[in-house]
Amino acid sequence: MVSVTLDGVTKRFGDVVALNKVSFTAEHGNLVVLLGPSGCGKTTTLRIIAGFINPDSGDVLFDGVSVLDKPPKDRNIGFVFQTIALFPHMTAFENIAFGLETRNWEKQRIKTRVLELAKLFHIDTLLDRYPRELSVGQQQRVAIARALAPNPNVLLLDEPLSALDVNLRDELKLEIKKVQEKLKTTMIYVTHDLTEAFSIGNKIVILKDGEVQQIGSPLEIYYSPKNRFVVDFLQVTNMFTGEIKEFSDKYAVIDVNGSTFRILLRKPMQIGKKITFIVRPEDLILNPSHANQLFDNIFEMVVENVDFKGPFMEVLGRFEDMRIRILTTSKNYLPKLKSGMKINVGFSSSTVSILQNS
Amino acid sequence: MEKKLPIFIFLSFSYLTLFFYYPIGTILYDAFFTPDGQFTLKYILEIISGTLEQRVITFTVYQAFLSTLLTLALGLPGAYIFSVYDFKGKELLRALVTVPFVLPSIVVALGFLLVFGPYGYINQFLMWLLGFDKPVLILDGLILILLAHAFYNIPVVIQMVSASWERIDPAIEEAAEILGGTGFYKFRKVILPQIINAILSSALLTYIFTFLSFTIVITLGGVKYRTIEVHIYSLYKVFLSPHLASALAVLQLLISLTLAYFYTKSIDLVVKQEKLGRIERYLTRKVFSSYRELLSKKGLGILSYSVVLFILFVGPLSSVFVTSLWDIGSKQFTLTGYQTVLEPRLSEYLGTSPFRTIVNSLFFATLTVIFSLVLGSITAYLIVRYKWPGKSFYSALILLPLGVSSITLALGIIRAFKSLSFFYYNEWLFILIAHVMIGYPFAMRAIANSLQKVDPDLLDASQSLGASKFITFFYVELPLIIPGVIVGGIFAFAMSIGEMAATLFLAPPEFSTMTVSIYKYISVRKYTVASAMGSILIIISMTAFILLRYIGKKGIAEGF
Repeated sequence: MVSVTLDGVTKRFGDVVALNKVSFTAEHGNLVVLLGPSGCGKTTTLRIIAGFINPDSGDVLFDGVSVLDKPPKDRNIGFVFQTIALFPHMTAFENIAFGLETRNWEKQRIKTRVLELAKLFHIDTLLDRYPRELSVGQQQRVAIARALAPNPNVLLLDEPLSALDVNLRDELKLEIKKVQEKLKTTMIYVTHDLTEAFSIGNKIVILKDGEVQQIGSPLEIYYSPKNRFVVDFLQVTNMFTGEIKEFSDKYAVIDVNGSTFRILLRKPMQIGKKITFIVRPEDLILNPSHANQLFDNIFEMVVENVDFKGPFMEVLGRFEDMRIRILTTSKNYLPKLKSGMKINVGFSSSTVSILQNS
Repeated sequence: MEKKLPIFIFLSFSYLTLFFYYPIGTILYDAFFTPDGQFTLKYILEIISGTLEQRVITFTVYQAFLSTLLTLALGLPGAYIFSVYDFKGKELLRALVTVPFVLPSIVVALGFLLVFGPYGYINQFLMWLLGFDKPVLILDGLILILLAHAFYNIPVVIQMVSASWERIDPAIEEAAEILGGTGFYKFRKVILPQIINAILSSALLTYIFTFLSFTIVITLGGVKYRTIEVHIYSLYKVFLSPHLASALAVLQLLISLTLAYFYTKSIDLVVKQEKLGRIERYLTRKVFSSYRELLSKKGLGILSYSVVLFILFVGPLSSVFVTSLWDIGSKQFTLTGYQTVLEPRLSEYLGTSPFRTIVNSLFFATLTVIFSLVLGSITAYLIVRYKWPGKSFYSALILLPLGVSSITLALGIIRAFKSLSFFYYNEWLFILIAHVMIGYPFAMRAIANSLQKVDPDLLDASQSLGASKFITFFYVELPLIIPGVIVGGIFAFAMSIGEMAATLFLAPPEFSTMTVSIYKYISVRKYTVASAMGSILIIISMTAFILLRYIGKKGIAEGF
C-alpha cells in the first residue's frame, strides 16, 4: 500500500471547473472520505487518481512519485464502482479472479487468493453463482473482493453503498471498516452521506464546487466547522451573526439584531468586530429553568414544525429571521408543542463554536 | 389484465386464415398432390434431383453466407464506432445508415447497377481516363448482389449490435481496465461475451433476408445467378409448372422457418442479456472535439469508415438522381425521363402508361395503410391487452407471415383464388391482399410497442377519476399510442410502395406499380426513364422515412 497525494489538481470540462487546486493526502493505511453534494467533484477526483481522466494541472503522487504518465492498469489500484459493475457473464469466482488472471497468476494461487477474500467477505459459498443470482449486497461484496484481490496500492470506492437498501448499507459499511482495519489498505472513499462519512472515515475531505472546504477528522469537522458551507452540510442550522460588544475573561457579549448572547471565546477578539457562531442542534435546550446556570443564554423561538423521530425529536423554528433546529431526546414536550407557539430556548455559552472564516 | 375477449378476434383470425393459411395450404397441396388429387412425392424428388435446382439451392445458400460475412465485416466496425464514440456528424451518419429500412430494393438494385455496372459511372470514368471504348471493369453479378445485400443489411447489424453494446455499463469496461485487462483482451473477455448473441442474431437475420432475396438477385444477377425465390418465380411464370414451383416453395419455407426459429431463440437470449446490463450510460463517451484527436489513429479510422459508408450509401442513390436527368448514351442533360414517366401514354414495355403505375402504387399503398392499421390495431390489442387460452399459439400464428417469402405468398394467393370468378375479374385485389399481408406485421409491431409503453396505472387513474372506458380510450390511451399508429401506418406505406416481388408475380399490366415498371425499364436498359421513376419513388420513400424519424424519434429499430 502507498500514500496518495493530490497536489493542486485542477480539471475543467469545457467551461466548467470541476476541480480547482485540490490538494490532500491519504496516508498509508488510512481511510479517507471525500464528502460533498453531487457535482462537487468527488467522483472526478477519484477518477483522476484511478487514471481514467487526466488533470489539466497539478499532480497525483503515490508515495511521493508522480503516476500521471501511467495508465489505470499500471497504477495497481482497486476500484469499486457505484454501479457495482460486475462482469455479468462471469461467476463470482471468475469476477474475483479476473485481475489475477491478467497478472498471469498460477491457477492454484488464484484459487487460494479468491477463497481467502471470499471468506473475508462471507461469500465463500456463493462463488459459483452469476451476479444476477446474487443479492445487491452480495454483488457489492464480490465487487470489493475483486478490487482487493490483486493487492492494490490503494482501494478507491465510488459511493459503494448507494445501490443498497438502507439496512444493508450499515452492515456493509461496518464490514468495509473491519476489512480496512485488518488489511491496512489505503482507501479513498467517496460519498455524499454525512453519517456514512463520519462512521467510516479516519479523515474527511469536504468538497464543494471542486474546491476543498475542510480537511480533518470527523470530530474536528463536527466541532470546528470552518465555514458556512460545512455548517450547512452538517445540518447544524443554528447560526448567529452579530457584533462583539464586550470582552472580558474569555467571555464575550454579542449583539445579534438587538438580542445579546454570552459566549465563550478562546482567543481574545476586538470589540466591534463581526462574528458568526453556531450552536449544534443537540446543545439547544427547550424551556430551560431560569435557575439553571448552565444555560446562560435564553431566547424565544416560534415553533414551526415538530417531528417525532423515535429515539429523538426534531423541532424546527424561527428566531427573528434565523432558522433554528433543535434535537432533543426529551419527549415531555411532545404533546404540548404546536407550530406557531412561542417557547424559550437555552444554550450554554461553552457549547458555542466560532466560524473561522466568518 | 383479464378482460372479455372481443368479437373482433374472429375478424383477425378469419383474415389470416383466408388470406394467409389457406394460400399456404394450397401450396402444400400442390407440392404433394397431382392435379387429379393423388398424393405424390414426385414434385419434391424432381426438385431435389434436378441439376438446375441443385445449382440454384447451392447458390442461394452460398450467396447468403457470403452476403452475411460481408455485412458483418462492414457493419461491426460501425456498431463499435456508434457504441463507443461521440463525434461530429455522428447523428447524420446514424440517419444515413437507417435509410435502407424504407428504400425499395429495386431502387437500390438500380443504383448499384448505375455505379458498378458495365456501363455504370465507375466504368464511364475508367473508360474516359484510360481512353477505352469498352467497359474496363466487368464486375461479376455476384459481387453486385453481395454489395447490394450488404447495403441493405449493414443497418440491421449496426442497430442490433450497438443496441447491446451501448447497454454495457462503462464502469464494467473500466473495471476490466483497472484490473489489467486492456485492449483486445478486454474485448475478448469482457465485451464480446456480452454482445455475441446480438452479433449472432443480426447475422441470422441478415442470412434470412438474403436467403429470400428476390428483387436484388433478379435485377443484378442476370441469367447467371438465381436464388430459390427467383427460381420459384420462373418455374411458375416461365416453365408454367405450379406444382414444381410449389414443391420448391415448400423446401424454401422449411429452411426459412427453421432459420426464423433459431432467430427468435437468439433474440430471446439477447433480450435476456440486455436485461442483465444497465440501460443508461452514466458517463459520456469519448468525444472527438479537436482536430488533433481527429488526426489520431482512431480518428482517421472512424473518418475512413465514415467515408466508405458514405460512398456505399450515398453513391447509388445519387446516381439514380443524376441518371434521371442525364442520358448515359449521348452524355447529355435530358428531361425525357420525367416526360416519359409523367405522360399518360401507353408504354410498349409496361403494357400500360408509366403514369398509371404511379397512380397504382399510391392507390395500393393507401389501401394497404388503411387495412394494415385496422388489422394491426386489432391484433396488437389482442396480444397486449388481453389474456386468453391459446394466446401464445395465436402469437406464433400471426408472426408466421414474417417468415414467408413474398413469392411464396403470391404463389399461394394466385393458386388459391385465381379459379374464383370474382377474383378473376378483380385481379388487383390479389396485390392488395399480398401488400396487406406484408405490411400489417410492421404496423402491428409499432402499435403493440406503443401499447406496451402505456402505463396501465394511467388507465386505472382515468377510470378512478370517473371516466368511462370510452372516454379513457379517446382521451388517455389514444393520444399516447397515436405516434405508434402513425409509425405503423408509415411502415405499411413504405412496405407497399417498395414491394416488387409479389406485385411482379400477381399484377396484370394495368395494375402494375412503380417498382415493377422500374424493373421493366431496367430490363430493356432504359436507364434514364427507370431513374426518373426511381427518383420519384426515392422521394416518396424518403418523405416517409423523414416522417418516421421525426415521429419515432427513438429510432426505427423498434420496427423489427
